[in-house]
Amino acid sequence: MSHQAKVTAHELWNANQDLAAACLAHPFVQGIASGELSVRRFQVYVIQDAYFLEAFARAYALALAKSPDREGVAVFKDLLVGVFEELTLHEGYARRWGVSLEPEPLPSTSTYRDFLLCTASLEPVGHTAAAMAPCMRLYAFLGQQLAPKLNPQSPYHEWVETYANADTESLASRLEALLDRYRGEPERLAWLYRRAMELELAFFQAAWDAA
Amino acid sequence: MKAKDLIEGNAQLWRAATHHAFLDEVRHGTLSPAAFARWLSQDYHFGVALTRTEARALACAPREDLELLVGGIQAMVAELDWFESKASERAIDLDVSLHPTARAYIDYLRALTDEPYSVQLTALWALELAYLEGWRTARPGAPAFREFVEHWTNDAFAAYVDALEAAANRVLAHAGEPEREAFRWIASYEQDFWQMAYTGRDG
Repeated sequence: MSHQAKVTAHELWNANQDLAAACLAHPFVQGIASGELSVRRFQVYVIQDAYFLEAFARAYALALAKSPDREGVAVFKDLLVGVFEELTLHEGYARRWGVSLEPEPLPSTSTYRDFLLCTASLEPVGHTAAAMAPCMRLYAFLGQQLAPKLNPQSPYHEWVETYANADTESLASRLEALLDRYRGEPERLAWLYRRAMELELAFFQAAWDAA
Repeated sequence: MKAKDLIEGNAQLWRAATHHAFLDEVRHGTLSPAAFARWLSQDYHFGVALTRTEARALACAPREDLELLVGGIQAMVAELDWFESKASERAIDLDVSLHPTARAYIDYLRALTDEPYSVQLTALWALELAYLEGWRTARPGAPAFREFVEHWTNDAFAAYVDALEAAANRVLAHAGEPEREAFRWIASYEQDFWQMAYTGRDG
């Protein structure tokens, strides 16, 4: 066999290390830790992230509705509560950073939202987990990688601290456990996972380019 | 239209949904353990289906209702845990097949998710209020059932039903026949559910 499909969450993450490294090295992400990122770029990101997190919450709800067992209902409930708290926090950031949530989402945000909601609506729950796990794992990774070199004077230090904490790691691990529990068609899981990673990188790039 | 108008317009149906010999016997302590076990086990499976229904409603809810529905899902999952612990204490088997009446109600909940959000929310409010008002008629509950009666009429649950009603009032401002029809179906299924638990037969 020339191509071995990656199926576990761990294998999928390992197969996308190129995109994880590109996100970590992105000037937007590095600028959050150093504090050198412009306020305007962070504002754009915060607005877009609120749109994104709302779609993420809806996708978790659809996954809960489709999960075949009691365990899935319980874990997707916790993930839903977690992302809703994050959404509330980010709307708080947006107010603090003096930005309105009124503007339309950027094309990269819309594409990511459509990808999540389309997958959660039309595909089995394991595939939805494969579309959602990259965001959770990537943010835990970025938080943990950036924390040691975080400039404590960075106006964005809370962002790094939030994603470096144990709660983020725990939620990411629980979603990955559901991905491993439900699985699905290997080629499709690999495609969805990689697509989500590409959309993550594009999300940082869009916030960088918009200001 | 307000949520309360639906009750006033369907007074007889609503009374039948919220008053039943099952509940009277919970109050008097004469309910058979088999009827209670049937109720608890069927309602547990209904609760799992309801959690999924709430999640589907959340997926299409306006932003302003997300907090309400996240809270509702959180409370429902805690409720399922509680059912499991009480069933275990009382040696009630939750691993039962669905009674046709429970099955029909659950199928109706699934069908609701094809309806507009206003219909889904109206149904969620109506079924939670029927539950609350029904259990209130069983107050204070005979000693054997008191913890259940207290649990299903507590202040947190009443506050949640009030919040659902406030949200329902908002969507019902522009509502029509589909919302009325959903209300009537819910009231009818609620009545059937008590009857199913009480007699073991279809409503």
